[in-house]
Amino acid sequence: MKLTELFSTGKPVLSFEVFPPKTTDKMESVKKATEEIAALHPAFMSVTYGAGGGTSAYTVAVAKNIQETHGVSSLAHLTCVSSTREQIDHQLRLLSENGIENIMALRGDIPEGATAPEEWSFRHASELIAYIKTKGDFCIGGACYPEGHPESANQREDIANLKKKVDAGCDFLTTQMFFDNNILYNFLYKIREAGIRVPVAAGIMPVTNGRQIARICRISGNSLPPRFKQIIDRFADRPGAMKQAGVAFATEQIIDLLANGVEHVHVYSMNKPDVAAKIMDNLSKIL
Amino acid sequence: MGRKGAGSRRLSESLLNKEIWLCLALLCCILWETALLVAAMRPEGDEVWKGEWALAIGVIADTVRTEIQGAPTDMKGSAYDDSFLSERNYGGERKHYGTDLMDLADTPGRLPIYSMTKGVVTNLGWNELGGWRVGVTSPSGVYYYYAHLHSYAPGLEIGDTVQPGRLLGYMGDSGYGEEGTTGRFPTHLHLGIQVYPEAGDESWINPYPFLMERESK
Ligand SMILES: [Zn+2]
Repeated sequence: MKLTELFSTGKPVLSFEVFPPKTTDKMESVKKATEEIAALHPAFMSVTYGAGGGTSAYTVAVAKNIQETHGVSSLAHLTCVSSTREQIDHQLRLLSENGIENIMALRGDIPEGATAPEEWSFRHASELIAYIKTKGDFCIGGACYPEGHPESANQREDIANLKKKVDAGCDFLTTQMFFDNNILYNFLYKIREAGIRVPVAAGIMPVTNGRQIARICRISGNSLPPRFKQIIDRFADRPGAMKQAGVAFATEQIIDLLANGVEHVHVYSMNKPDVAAKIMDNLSKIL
Repeated sequence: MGRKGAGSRRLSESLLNKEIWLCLALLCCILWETALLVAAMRPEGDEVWKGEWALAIGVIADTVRTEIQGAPTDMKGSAYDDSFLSERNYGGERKHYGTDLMDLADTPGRLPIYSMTKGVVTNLGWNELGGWRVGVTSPSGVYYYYAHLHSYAPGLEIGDTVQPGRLLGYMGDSGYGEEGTTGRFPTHLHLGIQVYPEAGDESWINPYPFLMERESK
């Protein structure tokens, strides 16, 4: 099913994100984890892009498996980085042949020591989106950055780029993770003021590893609210406690979003069925 | 958004009438005299003007502050920012004379619109910029303008006396075209406050600080 249909039902949409294996021998364990998440019947699941090597085919395999085992619509990521036009064409064919109608078109992170970036055919997500539009009837998602893209000069430039992406044919947006809902509310005001009307799914990361998140936030420029820092300071050394606190914090964020009319939430659950299950359970009467 | 329809005129376009304005001002009460003098003497440049005007209407601001006794919508479901005098381009270049409260879910008809003050409904119906709009004139003569509605509260009519919190209608995306036009921009309420309707666009004041102040209470 196309995700635009899901977003227009007027009901809350909760989705999970998973990633494909890096090597073939991990395929079985990834399949098992993602199937367990699919068994919770979220509105849809997204599968990140395995750039380079043969791993882009794993994205398709995992996405297909999710749809076939539990009837959960899947959204396959696709990036500009590391892709020539031929590779993109190949991937689009593969997705189409495997019944995957939804694509998340991203620029992707430029890997350190990237070889031959001059061979990549698309510089910006907006170019990739416009290209996919010409290649078939896909529903296309794009990313957006409530705290600003780390590489853009200011939020005004950021929102101008976002407008370009949407005008290029992006059907919905998913936000980067944020830990303070007010940041999202301010961002929504700004993009709506700029005339961007596509559905926006708010990206929520349940933090289960305190140290990791502190590092990620330093890199991505995410701000951590004091209340959240205190949780990390207190529980980062106790994995079980950290997981419990992280899931509770994410649940609270989601409930606040729903209460404020933000009906679409995308959870960066990664391949952790227990985390996804706890969140679903916490919201069982709310969704 | 935010401009009343035909009949309103810009003071800047009628600088020739400055003397007339000043004469008139002498006949007005001291409050209005101060306001108009400062407006007529304003230097070029909106930033300065904003400041000067803000000073002149200090007294009026107190009136507005006291008479606003309710929120214009469900503040939890919406977001707003200070966009007073920012650029708008529908219908020629113009300034934004108000505050936009955006529906976080961008769903016309979802959020209620309430009168912030006591008053009388003095405008109702379609206007090209404001779409389905409601104008409420408070007992002090200040005009509260609620624009781009999705629909009206049942039975609301011109001449109705309203209290703060009275449902006026629902937030929408109407306007920027002939009657019935919707979808030209995301769902929001344009809120305007005009302290001296006869003076036209020059007398819209910025609703943002009043909203902020109410919320921080
Ligand atoms: Zn407005």
